[in-house]
Amino acid sequence: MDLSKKVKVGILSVVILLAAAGAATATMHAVTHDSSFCASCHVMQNYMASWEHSSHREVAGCNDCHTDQRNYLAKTYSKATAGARHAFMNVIQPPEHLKMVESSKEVVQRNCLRCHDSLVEKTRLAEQEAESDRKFCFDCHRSTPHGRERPSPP
Amino acid sequence: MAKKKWILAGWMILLVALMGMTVVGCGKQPSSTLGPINTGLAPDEVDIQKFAVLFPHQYDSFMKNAEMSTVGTKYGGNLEKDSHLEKYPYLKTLFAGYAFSLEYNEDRGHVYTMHDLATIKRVTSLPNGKKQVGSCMTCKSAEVPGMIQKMGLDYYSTPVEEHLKNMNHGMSCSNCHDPQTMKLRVVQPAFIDAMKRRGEDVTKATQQQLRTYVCAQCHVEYYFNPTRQGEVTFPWDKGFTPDQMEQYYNEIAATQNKFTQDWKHPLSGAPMLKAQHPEFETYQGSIHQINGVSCADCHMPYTKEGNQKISSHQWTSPLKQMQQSCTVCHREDVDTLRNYVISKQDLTFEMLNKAGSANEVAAKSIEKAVQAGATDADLTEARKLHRSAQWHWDIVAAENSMGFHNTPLTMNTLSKAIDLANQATMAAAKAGKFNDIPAPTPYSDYINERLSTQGWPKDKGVKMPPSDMSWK
Ligand code: HEC
Ligand code: HEC
Ligand code: HEC
Ligand code: HEC
Ligand code: HEC
Ligand code: HEC
Ligand code: HEC
Ligand code: HEC
Repeated sequence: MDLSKKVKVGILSVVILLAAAGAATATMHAVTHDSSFCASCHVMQNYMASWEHSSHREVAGCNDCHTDQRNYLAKTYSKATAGARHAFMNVIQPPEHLKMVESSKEVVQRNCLRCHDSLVEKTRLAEQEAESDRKFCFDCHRSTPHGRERPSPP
Repeated sequence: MAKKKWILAGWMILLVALMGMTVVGCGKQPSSTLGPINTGLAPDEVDIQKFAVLFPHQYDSFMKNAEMSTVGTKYGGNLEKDSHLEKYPYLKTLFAGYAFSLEYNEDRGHVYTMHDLATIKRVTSLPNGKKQVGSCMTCKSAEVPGMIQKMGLDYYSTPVEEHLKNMNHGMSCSNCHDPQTMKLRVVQPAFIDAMKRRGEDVTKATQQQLRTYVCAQCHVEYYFNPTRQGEVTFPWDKGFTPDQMEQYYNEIAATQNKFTQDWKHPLSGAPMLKAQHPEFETYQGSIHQINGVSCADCHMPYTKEGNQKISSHQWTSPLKQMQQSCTVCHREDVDTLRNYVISKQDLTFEMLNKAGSANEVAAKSIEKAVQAGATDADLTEARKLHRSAQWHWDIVAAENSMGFHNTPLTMNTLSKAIDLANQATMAAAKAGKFNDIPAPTPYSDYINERLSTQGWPKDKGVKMPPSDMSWK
């Protein structure tokens, strides 16, 4: 094999790999897009149940709030990292109580604003670069959308 | 080499596609729409009408403070001249010899601050032609910080009467907002100084802290520092609890600032402290405070004006607007939560009156001991105890939430008040060598019945038109 052939094969395999990864990413998004996917794990069922009874059921699915919706890369990154952590924890030892991690809070907050910014635009709630002790929307809207009682999974 | 070009082109397409996806993937992004505000007003603007044009929603909300009503509240509400002296029969004894025995009312809306100051007997009718000092006005008008800047300490010692002639504005937007940017800020020198002594620079506070600090400019305990012409000073060097503030008065105010008493009690002869509206101090350490809830969260809930949220600028009892003030965070239905709050207030009220009566007995016992021939030396201990007992009662009595802001602390403070008052009584009985302890003033059947059946406000559940706000 001469050098240029090696290069061609190399490039071709990279392209195939990328295509495969692209398809996988697309499939991943297709699979994880639906809210029912999230409930495929036992620990998540309470959240599915409370969401199903919330005013957001018809207007916002799990990913509308819990996935970084800024762009495709961010979306993929947030799904991949959170997904890996959830899957890992789910195998190792599913926790009794779930609590959002700090980085998830920022994601959800941005999503609240994505849909509701016109309502709050004249208040400081709309400020993006807020100080570290600022309040998240869900510090007040404590039951949006999961209700206040969140018993540990049976 | 044509092939290589194709491969290169392939790469380019892939890259562009990827970047394209990145861009197309963008959903609607929140646009940070609350940019910096520039009102174009002067940095020291105090005239509320200038703000009204620019922020009509907040102004309208502010003017609702004139609404008089007690709807949904047993111990608070917005009422004119709702007399404490009438409600608490022991009060005239506890405040004997002091201006608070002339007239002392429940608080009401922010639009009435100047009217109520200018018409209260504690200002208009002091005995022997005495004139009330300007210090009293410090929390009533937006003009005050500017006056302090101009007059220095003379502001505090000038009589209220004199000041009133030159003033045109009551409370205004600039008490809490920078008139040019509308950012929250604090301007009360006493608050800024007191926090500095505690090692905190509140001019650099975060927005979230300011949602409490703007209120802490006024809804706090204070005294007039005699070494500085009666400058308003907050007693927080040792902490915010009733015990820590008392310690400050005994150890720092008395020695460094020569402030030994608010007045001398004519019955017991004890050097007394008067407590004032310690909402901010009481709130410290409460369940809501440790959860990061601010004064504004309950007292200035978001309300909808059209399809916009604004912060309510009608400061009153949150029990009148629990839908906005509480149920965003709490899921209990409004009536259940209100009944729970009122039941806690009932418990506080019962203990408050026990503590008040115990203090009345203590004052009368010391008086009786004096009449029986006990000397000052015999009564030192009893007087010390009476001062402390009444302070512990008063810091709760003067607080405006009837225990709600911090029920465990309130109950703890009242039990100390009762214990100290009983000790004072026993010390007096020992010094005067008597064992028939004087009785407290009984509640009349009339007051008793009203308190137990419907709470004190006379016009429960009634809305009334705004009353007179003028003070000129
Ligand atoms: C309207 C936006 C929204 C939607 C839709 C939504 N969530 Fe949430 N979710 C939140 C918020 C807000 C919190 C954080 C609540 C808190 O911290 O009090 C949260 C928290 C969680 C948590 C962590 C537990 C906790 O109490 O912090 C899990 C797990 C969760 N959501 C799963 C789901 C699932 C599964 C779905 C779809 C069935 C879903 N969420 C749909 C907003 C949403
Ligand atoms: C493989 C099972 C599984 C699936 C599927 C799953 N989760 Fe989870 N999830 C978990 C486990 C386990 C945890 C606890 C992780 C931890 O403690 O770090 C968790 C935690 C969370 C949390 C709280 C921690 C954080 O990241 O802030 C949120 C929010 C959440 N999941 C949302 C979702 C959403 C939305 C989906 C659907 C897109 C989903 N989960 C799908 C198992 C799963
Ligand atoms: C995908 C868009 C979307 C997202 C994301 C979203 N919402 Fe909503 N929300 C809606 C729509 C649509 C409604 C119903 C229509 C309306 O009243 O505006 C609604 C209604 C509400 C209501 C009023 C009804 C109720 O349940 O009390 C509140 C409060 C609310 N949202 C808060 C939030 C908060 C907090 C978040 C973030 C945790 C959030 N929303 C995220 C679209 C969204
Ligand atoms: C968790 C909600 C909450 C928070 C936070 C809160 N308050 Fe209150 N406040 C109340 C309630 C409830 C009452 C009792 C009203 C009644 O008895 O009708 C009250 C009463 C008052 C009153 C008397 C009102 C009246 O009708 O006479 C004042 C003044 C006040 N609060 C100031 C403050 C200040 C200042 C802060 C911050 C340091 C604060 N509050 C924090 C809920 C709150
Ligand atoms: C006792 C203090 C106080 C006074 C007096 C006051 N405000 Fe406010 N104002 C606040 C607080 C607290 C907020 C909430 C700000 C935040 O969280 O960023 C606020 C918010 C605002 C906002 C931002 C939008 C909103 O509604 O949240 C505007 C505009 C405003 N006030 C205008 C006014 C005007 C006009 C006046 C005079 C008529 C006034 N304020 C008087 C305390 C005050
Ligand atoms: C400049 C001083 C000042 C500031 C700042 C201030 N207040 Fe007041 N407040 C007063 C005075 C004085 C009164 C009593 C007025 C009267 O009775 O005429 C009062 C009365 C009240 C009442 C009783 C109203 C009623 O209906 O009985 C409430 C509640 C209240 N304030 C809450 C707040 C809150 C919350 C803040 C902060 C956002 C705040 N205040 C900031 C001086 C102030
Ligand atoms: C300090 C507490 C607080 C915070 C923080 C807060 N809200 Fe609200 N929100 C309220 C209150 C109170 C109401 C009810 C207003 C009313 O009923 O007039 C409300 C109402 C709403 C509504 C419903 C309006 C309707 O049609 O009933 C939406 C949607 C909403 N908020 C979204 C948000 C979003 C998005 C955020 C974060 C950017 C947020 N809120 C942050 C207190 C808060
Ligand atoms: C910004 C959110 C928020 C608001 C607004 C709020 N609370 Fe709370 N409240 C809390 C939190 C957090 C706790 C702590 C316990 C918990 O998590 O439920 C609590 C606890 C309580 C408790 C139980 C503790 C105690 O003191 O006995 C009562 C009662 C209560 N709140 C009443 C009220 C009332 C009445 C209002 C409206 C005037 C109100 N709250 C407004 C967040 C809030």
